[in-house]
Amino acid sequence: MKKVSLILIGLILFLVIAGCTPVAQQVMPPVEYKKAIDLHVKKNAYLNWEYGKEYAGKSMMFGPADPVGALLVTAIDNEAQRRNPDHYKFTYGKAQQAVFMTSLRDVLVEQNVFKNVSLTTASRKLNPNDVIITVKFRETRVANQNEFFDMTLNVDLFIKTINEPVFKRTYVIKSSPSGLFGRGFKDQQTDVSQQLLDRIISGLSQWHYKIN
Amino acid sequence: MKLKNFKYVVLIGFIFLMGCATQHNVELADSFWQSPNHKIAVATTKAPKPQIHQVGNQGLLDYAISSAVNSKLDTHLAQTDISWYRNMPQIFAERLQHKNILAKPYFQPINAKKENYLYIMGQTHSEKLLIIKLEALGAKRTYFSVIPKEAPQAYCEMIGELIDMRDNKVLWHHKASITEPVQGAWDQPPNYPNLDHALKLAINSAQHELLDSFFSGR
Repeated sequence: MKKVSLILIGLILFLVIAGCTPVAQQVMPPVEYKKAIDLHVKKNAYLNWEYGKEYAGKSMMFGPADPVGALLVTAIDNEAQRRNPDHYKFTYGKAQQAVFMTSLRDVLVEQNVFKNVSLTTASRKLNPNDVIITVKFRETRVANQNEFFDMTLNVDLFIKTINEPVFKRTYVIKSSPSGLFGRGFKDQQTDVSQQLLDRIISGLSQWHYKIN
Repeated sequence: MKLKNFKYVVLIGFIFLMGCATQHNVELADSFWQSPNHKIAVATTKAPKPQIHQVGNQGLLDYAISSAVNSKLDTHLAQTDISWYRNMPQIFAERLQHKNILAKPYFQPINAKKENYLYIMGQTHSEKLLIIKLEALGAKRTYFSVIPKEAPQAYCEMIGELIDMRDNKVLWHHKASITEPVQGAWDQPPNYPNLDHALKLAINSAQHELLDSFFSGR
């Protein structure tokens, strides 16, 4: 009975302390694709990236239920956020999207999907041996810390080749259920990025099937 | 094991299992689009009253006090136009018909009960039901006790579900939960124009998210 009570108390203390600790935004690691891609196209691929709207989530201090304590905590929290806003905002923004695009390029290169793969930021003229793959992050949303930084990505994929209509797909990616204790911001980024990578690879296969 | 310890074990087990109780999102399988011989009815459930949703660490008295403070905003939100919601069956049906799938909109909002679903199946001679549920609409504000943590944000939450009524299998389930910050001042009674604009954006985003999720990859 004493042991079980101690475990319960420890669990509650852990949850309370976790709610008090500001969480720094963590850099997203590269995304991997461990399955074999059975797709090989003798064209040069140019990966183009467009970013859109970002909705940020916030880390939050644990708020007490009494008015005086709540007033103090709110004042401290607001001042801290005013002084260092980036420390309290969490987005699937340019940094994460850049890592994703680099990872996509690396996966396509490692698996010889195209003759050459490179990243491009400018619109380029299409040649017969070229494929332009545009990934547009139309809207990205990150929920607040109390909602475990749940993420939603609205992404458009465009694949352009000469003499073919533009192939378009739209993907809505939501972070996977993260259980009772949730997943941290870093893991949520990895989760949605992995899902998006899987969908884009699937989109490439659909495109190739359609044109052949 | 002693009875007292067993109670604690059950309690801990209950807490852990609570995380499993909600319906998770289900992606529509590619096989759905590969066999287009579907007969689908598209319907909506009855809309809730648009209001301000107070979240956070509040007791009952705190909730009552902050509700009283928010009464003007609540009254304004209750008048929010929801005609866009009544049009959603038509929008989904048209998109499905564009893909040569037989889809019929059912315009009478229903209560989310199995017998109502079966009634629609009978009326429309369908085998699958695409049901859109508006779960929450209005504004969301976080509180610590009676102290608001931040300005209200426009809020729209919708769920879309495709059910095969022959075996009650859920073929697609998606929850779109959108909060939209208000650009500029929010406290502009009696019409709250900035908040209304944010609410329109939230509704638009939620509609598009459901449509994009359903037709995702198509």
